[in-house]
Amino acid sequence: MTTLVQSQSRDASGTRAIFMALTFGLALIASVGFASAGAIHDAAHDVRHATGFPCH
Amino acid sequence: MQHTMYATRPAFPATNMLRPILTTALLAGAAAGATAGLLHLVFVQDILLSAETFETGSEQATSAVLTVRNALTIMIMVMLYCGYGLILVALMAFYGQTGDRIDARRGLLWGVAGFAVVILAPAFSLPAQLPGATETDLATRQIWWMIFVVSAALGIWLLAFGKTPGQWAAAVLVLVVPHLLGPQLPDILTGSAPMELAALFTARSLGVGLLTWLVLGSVAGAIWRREQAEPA
Repeated sequence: MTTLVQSQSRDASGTRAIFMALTFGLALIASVGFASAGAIHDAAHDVRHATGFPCH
Repeated sequence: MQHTMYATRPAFPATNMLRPILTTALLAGAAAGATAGLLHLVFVQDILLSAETFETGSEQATSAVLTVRNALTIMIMVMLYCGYGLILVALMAFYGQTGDRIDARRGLLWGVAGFAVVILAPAFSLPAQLPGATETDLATRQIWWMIFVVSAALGIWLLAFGKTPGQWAAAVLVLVVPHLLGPQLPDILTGSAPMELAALFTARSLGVGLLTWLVLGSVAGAIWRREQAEPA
């Protein structure tokens, strides 16, 4: 019984961790690839061109 | 052994799985980003700079300006591939819940798939463009980029893990249909750089993308395996 409860909480925490990692990852990609603020655009300009993000 | 594992589990189980995902993704992302940055500087940056001289008609910037620009490019590549790494490892963890093991060799296949999803699929209709290419609406291209990437991710996941002919057929549809509906070249083309430069740039961008994703996938696979082997 104890083992069952623990393995369920393990799965739920795993799913939460997976969603958190996906969110962090998407936030990083969005700021590098899509953010239009001038400074970010200038810093990321060459990377956007070379990795296929639409740039300007 | 099992008992030791449970006894040493931290009080907040959310960090239990998050820590190995973050460790794996950030180490693999840093390795891949550094690879991408170096390959970019060796094989791609000169093409981009000479396209800019065609675009603006002026000479290249001074070497001090270029050094800062190159350093920023390496830093941004590391950020980008840490982002891709987080998503890749999160998906590996999700897939791992079915009980299948991932190692460096398996990770290589995940890397090829990641390349196909975020580099090759959008490039099929929106190839990497040099500065000075004909300008079309940016927001429209960004939306199509996302559609191409999401549909390719779904299609390749179905191809890799689908079990029925119906799922494989759906995968082919999801992969192909967005490119039938997607953005067309404008009627009037005004790109300033010679086509030889543009072709080399696009091809090099794909090649650097593939090598980088091979590093990201195999390093992530190798570290993920070690993280899974030791009790969290």
